[in-house]
Amino acid sequence: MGGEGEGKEGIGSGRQNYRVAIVGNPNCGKTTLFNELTGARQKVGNWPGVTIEKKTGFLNINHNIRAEIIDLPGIYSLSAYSLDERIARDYLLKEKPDAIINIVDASNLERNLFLTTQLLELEIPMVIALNLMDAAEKKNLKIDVDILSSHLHLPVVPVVALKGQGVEATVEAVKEVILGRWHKKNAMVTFGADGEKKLADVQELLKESATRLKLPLRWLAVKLFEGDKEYELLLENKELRDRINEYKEKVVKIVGEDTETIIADYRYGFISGLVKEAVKVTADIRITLSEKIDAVIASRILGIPFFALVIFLMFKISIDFSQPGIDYIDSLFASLIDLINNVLVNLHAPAWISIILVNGVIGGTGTVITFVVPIALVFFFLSFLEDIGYLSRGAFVMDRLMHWMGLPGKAFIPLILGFGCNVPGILATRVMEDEKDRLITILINPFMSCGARLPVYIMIAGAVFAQNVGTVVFSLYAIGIAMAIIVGLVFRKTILKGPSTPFVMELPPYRLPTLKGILMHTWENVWSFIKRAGTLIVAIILLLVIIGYLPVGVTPNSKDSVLGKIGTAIAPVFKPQGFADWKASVALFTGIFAKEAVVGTMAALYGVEEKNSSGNPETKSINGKDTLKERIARDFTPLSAYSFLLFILLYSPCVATMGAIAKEAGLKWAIFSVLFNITVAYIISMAVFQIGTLIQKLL
Amino acid sequence: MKISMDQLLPGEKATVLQIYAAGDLRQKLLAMGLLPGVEIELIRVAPLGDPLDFKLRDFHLSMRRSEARNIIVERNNHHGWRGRRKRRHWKWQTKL
Repeated sequence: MGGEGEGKEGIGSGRQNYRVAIVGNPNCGKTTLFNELTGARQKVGNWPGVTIEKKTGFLNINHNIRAEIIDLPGIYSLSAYSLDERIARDYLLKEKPDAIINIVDASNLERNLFLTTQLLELEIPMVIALNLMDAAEKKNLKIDVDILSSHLHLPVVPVVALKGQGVEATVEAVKEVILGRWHKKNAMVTFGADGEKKLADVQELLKESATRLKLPLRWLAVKLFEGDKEYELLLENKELRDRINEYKEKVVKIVGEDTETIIADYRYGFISGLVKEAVKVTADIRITLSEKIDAVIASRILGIPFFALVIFLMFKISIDFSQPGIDYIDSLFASLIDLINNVLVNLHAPAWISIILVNGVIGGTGTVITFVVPIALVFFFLSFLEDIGYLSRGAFVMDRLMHWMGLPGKAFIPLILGFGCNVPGILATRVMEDEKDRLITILINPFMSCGARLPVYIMIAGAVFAQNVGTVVFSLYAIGIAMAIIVGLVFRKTILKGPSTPFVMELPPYRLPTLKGILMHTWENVWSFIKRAGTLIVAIILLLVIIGYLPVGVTPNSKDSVLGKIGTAIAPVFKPQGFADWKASVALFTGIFAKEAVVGTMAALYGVEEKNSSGNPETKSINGKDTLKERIARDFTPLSAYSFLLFILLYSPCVATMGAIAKEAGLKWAIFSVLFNITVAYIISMAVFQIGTLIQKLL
Repeated sequence: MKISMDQLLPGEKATVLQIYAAGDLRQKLLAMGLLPGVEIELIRVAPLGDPLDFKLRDFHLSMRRSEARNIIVERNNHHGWRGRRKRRHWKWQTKL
C-alpha cells in the first residue's frame, strides 16, 4: 500500500501487461473483490483534477501475464451527469482497458444488469463476476449462470468475494478474454424493429464521427439518441445534429415518450426477459432480515435515538479512548526530544540546530502523530458503518434536518465529529458524493467548537466569569453551531451556489463487513493524512517555533522575541475588540499551532510556572490557580473576555485543520478558510464588544 | 386515481405512470429502474417526515418528497380500516 510505484511495462521481465477495469454498482462488493484480486499490491491516488479516489493494483495472472487492475467508482449507469459516471466512462472509452470485470450483485440482479447492458455496447472484452451468491441464496433465488452467460455472450463467474470464493475462476475468465480465447461478440440490447431501423440510419450518419472520436459506433448512436449532452457537443456538424434530432422527434411522436425513457425501457425489458429465464424463486420471502432491522432502527420513533446512540459511541470512543494513546505518544516524543537534546548538547551543537530540529521538526511530527490515533479510530468506525450499510440509514434519518441547511443528511456525521476534533471531521466528508456539499461541510467544520478549545474557555471564563462559567461555555458552543448554519447557508447562496443535489439514494441491505476491508480502508486514510496534511503541519509549526526563538538569546516566546514583537505589533489591531494586549495577541498567534496552546502561552506569558506547553488547566489549578486567575482577571473585563473567547471560537482553524482542509479541498480553500474565519471572528467580536460597551454606557 | 408518489402511505403499492423530472434526476431515476409501469411500495417515512423509503425491483430507494412529487403513480392495493386510520393520522402530522 502506498509504496508500490512500479511502471506499467514489466521491467525487463518480458511479461505482458494488460489493464483490467472493475466496474459495478455501489454496494455490490467491488472493493472487496478488488482487494481479493490485488492483495496488498495497491496504489491509491486521485483521478486527474478531482478528489475522487483512484485505486490501482496488480495481479499476476501467470508468470507471463500481469494485469493492472483499476477500481472504477461505483456507478449505476454510464451517463454524463455525475462526476463518478464521467470518470468511469472517460476511463473506459479513452484509456480503453483490455478487459472489464463487471461485478454484479446476484441478490439484486435487475438493477445491476442495467449498467451491464450499457457496458456491452462499449465493445470491450468483459467478464461478469456474479458476486453475493450467498445473499442471493438467502433470498431463495436460484440463478442459472449458464443461461446468463449464453444470453449475454460473456463468461459469468459465481463469486462470494467476502469468502474469496470464485476469485480464481474470475482470474481464469479474465485470462481467457484478454488472450482473445472467448470468441463470442458481446450481446446487445435491441430497441425494437422500428427503433433498430432508425438506429441503423443514425449509425450510417455517424460512421465518420465515430471513427474520428474513436468511439464504438452503436454506443455513440444510442447515446446521441438519448440526447447525451457531452456527445452532442462533440459532433462538429450542426447539420448532423439536426438530422439526428429529426430521427429522435419521429420516434418520440410514434411512441409518445422521450427517447431516454424508451431506451431505458428496452434495457429493462431485455433484463426482465433474461432474469425470468435465468432466475428461479424457490420460496417467497416477503420481508428480509434487513427490512426487519430497518423496521426498528430506521423507524419514526427509534430512528433518531438510535442514530444519536451510534454517533455518541463513535464520538466517545474515538475521542476519549484515544486520550491514553495520545498521552503515550506525547510522552514518547517528550523523551525523544530530551534524548536528542542531550545528544546535541554533548556534541556542542549550536542552539539553533536543536531549536529547528528538536522543537520544530520532531515536535511538529509529534503533533501530527498524536492526531493519528483519533483519526484512525474515527475512520475505523466510519468504514465499519459504511460497510455494514448503516451510513446510508444515518443519512436517511438526518436528511430532513440537514436539508434545512441546504446540505444532505450525510453532512451530519462530519459536523458532529468536529466537536471532538475538526481534523477527523473534515476527513470524514469523504463519505459525501457531491463536491459542493462536501466543500461547504469542510468550510463550516471549524465553527464546530473542537475539544482543544474547551480548556481555553475554561481558563479564561473561569478567571473572569466566576459564577457563570458553564453558561458562558455553553453559549460559545451554541454560537459556533449558529455560525456554522449561517455561513453554510450564505456559502450555498453565494460562492458555492448550485441546486441542492437531488436526493435519490439506495438503502443497501445490511451486510457483515470484513475486518480486513475495514482495516485497509482505515490505513489508507491515516496514511494519506500523514503524507499530505502532515508535511504542511510540520512546516507551519517549524516557522512558528523559529520566530518564537529569534533573535538568538532572548527568552523563547517573550516580548523581545520576533513572536513577541509580532504580538506587540498586532495588538493595536484588536483595540475595537477590547483586548489590545500583546500577551493576548501572542496567545492567539500560538493558538494557530493548536488551539489548546493558547492556555500554555497565556500561562507562560502571565509568568506562571507550567510543566509542559501542551497546557492542561487541571495541573495548573493545583499549583498557581489564583495567581493566574487574578492576573488574567486584571487584564480583562467580562466584556473584553467574552469578546476574546468569541474570537478564539471563530478565528483561524489550527495548523492541523488547515492541513486537513488543504488535503481535502486544496490549498486555495485552506487559505480562504483561514482568511474568512479570521475576518468573521474580527467582525463578530468587534460587534459584541462595541455594542456591549454602548449598552454599558447607556446603563 | 392518479396521485404523486409522495402522497402514498406506508404499505401502499402503486404503479408508476409518468415521470416529470429532467436532467440529472430523471437519468438517475431511469437508471434505478424507476420507469413507467414499474410497481413501487412506500415502506416508511423518515423520522422527521422526509425522505421516503420506497421498494421497487426488490431493492430500497430513498428520495425526498420534493423528488417524489415529480412522479405520478396510481395506487394498486386498497387499504382497509387500518389504512384509513393511518391516513387520518398522517394528515394530522403533515399539518404540523
